[in-house]
Amino acid sequence: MNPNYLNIRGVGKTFKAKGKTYEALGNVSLHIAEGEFVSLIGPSGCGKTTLLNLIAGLDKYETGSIDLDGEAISGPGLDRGVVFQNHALFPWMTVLDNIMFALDCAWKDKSKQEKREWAIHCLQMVQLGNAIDKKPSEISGGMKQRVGIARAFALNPKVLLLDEPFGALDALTRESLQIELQRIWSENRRTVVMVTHDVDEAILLSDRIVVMSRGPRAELIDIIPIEAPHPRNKSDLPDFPGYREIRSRIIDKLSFQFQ
Amino acid sequence: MYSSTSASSKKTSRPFQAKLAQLPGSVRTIGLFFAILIVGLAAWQLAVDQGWLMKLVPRPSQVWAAAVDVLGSPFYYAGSNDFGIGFHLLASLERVALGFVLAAIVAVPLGFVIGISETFSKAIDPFVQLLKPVSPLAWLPIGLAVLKSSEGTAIFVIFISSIWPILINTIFGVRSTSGTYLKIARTLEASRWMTIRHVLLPASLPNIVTGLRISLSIAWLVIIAAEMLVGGKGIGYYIWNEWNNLNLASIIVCIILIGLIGLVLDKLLSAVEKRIKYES
Repeated sequence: MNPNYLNIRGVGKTFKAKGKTYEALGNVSLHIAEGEFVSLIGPSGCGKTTLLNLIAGLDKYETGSIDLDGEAISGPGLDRGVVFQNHALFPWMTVLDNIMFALDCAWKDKSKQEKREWAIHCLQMVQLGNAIDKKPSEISGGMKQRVGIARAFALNPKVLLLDEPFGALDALTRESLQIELQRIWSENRRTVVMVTHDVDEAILLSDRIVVMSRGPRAELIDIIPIEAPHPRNKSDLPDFPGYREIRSRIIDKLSFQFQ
Repeated sequence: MYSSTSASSKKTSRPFQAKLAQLPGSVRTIGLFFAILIVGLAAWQLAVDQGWLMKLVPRPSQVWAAAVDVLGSPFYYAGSNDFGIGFHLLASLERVALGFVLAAIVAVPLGFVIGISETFSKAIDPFVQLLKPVSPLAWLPIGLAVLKSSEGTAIFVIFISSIWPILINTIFGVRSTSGTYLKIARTLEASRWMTIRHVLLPASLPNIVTGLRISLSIAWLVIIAAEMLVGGKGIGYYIWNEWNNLNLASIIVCIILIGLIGLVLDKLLSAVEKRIKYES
């Protein structure tokens, strides 16, 4: 496993709007190993999503560099699968067509039949084999987000970028999707960067938790490894060695931001 | 909307009011509709009988007789200057359909191209803003001069009146496409064509149909006036002709007929509009 698979080196980002400038990210450096699950946690508006968008290539960084598997990132690409907070499915397409659209964009030389079979396989992986012909408006929020996850996994990206993937869901649905994500991730291990503001979610899923400071000029203020083996169970969390320490360490860092 | 039941139930000392309050809302609405209709017709009849209005104004019964006469044989043909109202209506509908379809063919793709480019939309905006408030009838002499045909001019006027709402709504639809949808397309490295065909077009379709609906209503308004001017045939020409015959009864029949057809056209497109509305 390459320990320096995704490298963020001295990255800064300034937004300009209506003559005003806002320096969102100061000088961020982070090295993520292949197959590692990293969570970015921080107060809202701290630039977590900005950093994720820079990795996704949806925004351009001004200073520093980001490279993935030896290649510099200069724009959006199929080697990075993004799961957006609000599921972001096309409402005019069925569940299956949402996946098929991604495959049609990505795999130009494969046959319709091959793509269809793979899309159905991916939907079965997230337990949606029975909903393939439904429109997004006909399924629940949790199911929509499963489709979003299936779409990102379907393209076999090198990195999965999750932007508060469960933030809009109720607590019970969120928990079942966290378990589901963990299962899928264990079965096809790949590098994940997840933005979250849920401390327990970060501890449950991550190999490392990156705590970010409040903007402007947001920086990484702590990096905490979580050693417990996967898969983890939410009810077992309190029994993990060092769980309390880790949790209070993160909360201390976060609450310090509000003083 | 409906008389607040709590207020009316307080003073239900009289049995009639108590009974009225018990009726379902829809029955009360329909009842009120007919009451207004009957009172209106009676007032009209009374005004004519008492000689309060000009002599030209017909009684409701005369309008009814004219309706039976005009609508009884809508498709008679007795020479190129004397034919039934059905032919006039068909002529008007044909002009509207042609002008409207031509406008859609031009305005939807054009609006799309303009909407995709921010520079283009800003550059074109002053032209649209200037031309949009102009009555399409002002273009009629230009149509006559250029096309040298009354038929072509009528269609041209409809084209001009239809083009702005379609253009503006298409541009708006494309420009207001959710940023998230475009982000997904970008992360999937969707080609420009895939993005237009599968993201921008379906995302802006509801707005485009709204534009078509507005255009069709305006076209149906404008065709009457245009036909009064270009003449020959059509329901507007028919009305003008009846005015020259001082026949107000059949004009009133026409007004109701035009209203009904406009209503049907609008309902057709609003049905399409409802079908393609997405819930996310």
